[in-house]
Amino acid sequence: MKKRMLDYLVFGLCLAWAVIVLPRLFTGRWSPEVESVLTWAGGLMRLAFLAVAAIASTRALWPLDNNNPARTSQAFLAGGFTVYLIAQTTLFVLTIASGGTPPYPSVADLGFFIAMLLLIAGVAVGIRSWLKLGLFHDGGRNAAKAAAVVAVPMVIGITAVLRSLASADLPAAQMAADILYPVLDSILVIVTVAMLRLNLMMGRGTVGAVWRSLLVGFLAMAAGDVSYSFFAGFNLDALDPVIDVLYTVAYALYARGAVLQLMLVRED
Amino acid sequence: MKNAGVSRTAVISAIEEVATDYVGELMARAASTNHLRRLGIEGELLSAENVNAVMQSLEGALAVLVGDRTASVATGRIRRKIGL
Repeated sequence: MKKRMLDYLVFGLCLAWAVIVLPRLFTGRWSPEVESVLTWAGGLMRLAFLAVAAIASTRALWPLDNNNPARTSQAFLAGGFTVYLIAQTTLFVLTIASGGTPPYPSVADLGFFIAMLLLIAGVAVGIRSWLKLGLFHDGGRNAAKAAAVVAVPMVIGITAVLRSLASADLPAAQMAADILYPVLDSILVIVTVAMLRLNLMMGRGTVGAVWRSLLVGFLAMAAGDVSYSFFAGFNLDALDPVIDVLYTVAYALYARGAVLQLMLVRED
Repeated sequence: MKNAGVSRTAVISAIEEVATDYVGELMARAASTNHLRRLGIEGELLSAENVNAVMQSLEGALAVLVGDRTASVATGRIRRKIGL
């Protein structure tokens, strides 16, 4: 019952937000007043989702014994969501202060990089502790294959990005940020796909539901980052609502996954 | 412990029934057979020590997936299903 209410809330908010912002794809930007309201509403909603994810994933640490291998993975995830919340709050403040266009890169981007590293570590350690249980009949070979399948296009894509950046005349900080985002996103997608493959074997169990929510959230975030770079590169500002919805869905899924995780470990 | 021995089938089916809620049918089946095999329990009738060893091993594995408290609740449910 609690899970169903959570689903209605999370998916309802995401759907409502998509219905509000996606029409801008066809109408273009609305009046400055309406745009300002949307910036505040969207920003605060995303911060609320991240706050829920950070609090729930941190509280999910408490019922885990110190010698439980899952504690390390959970600590990385909780740290990742917390740093993400701080970075997103910083970005929100910078966006409001700059009148809609925050500096890039900023201290917020540094926070996003640290958060992504923590989330990657959380998923990787999670995979390791799952495989150590010896319950997967293939010993994780199918997960490794799935990761390899996505790694190939990722490496090709990153190589293309790095080549184009090498010839671009960009400030060092921006160059570093432009390199780090696709590299970290790719690593996150690769470990996420491996974990998702393991997750498929868990069918409709509650553990599967928790991780699927988090992992699909990671994929939505990576898709948001890629879309942001792509649209910015081609000056396709009109497609911003797509990015907006992708990030909102990602953060909503983090919140859902973290709350489900908390319910699971507390046996609610 | 009331029973002198518990049938292997009853133990496997109780583990599968409870663990399915958490880890799905496939993994629950793997958990039940793997833990018995790993502990070298092969007979059709399991002693109280055998069942305790399986429950301990299973609780440790489940703790990684669902947390220590929930794993303890789950093995408690399994024990009740077996009638221990």
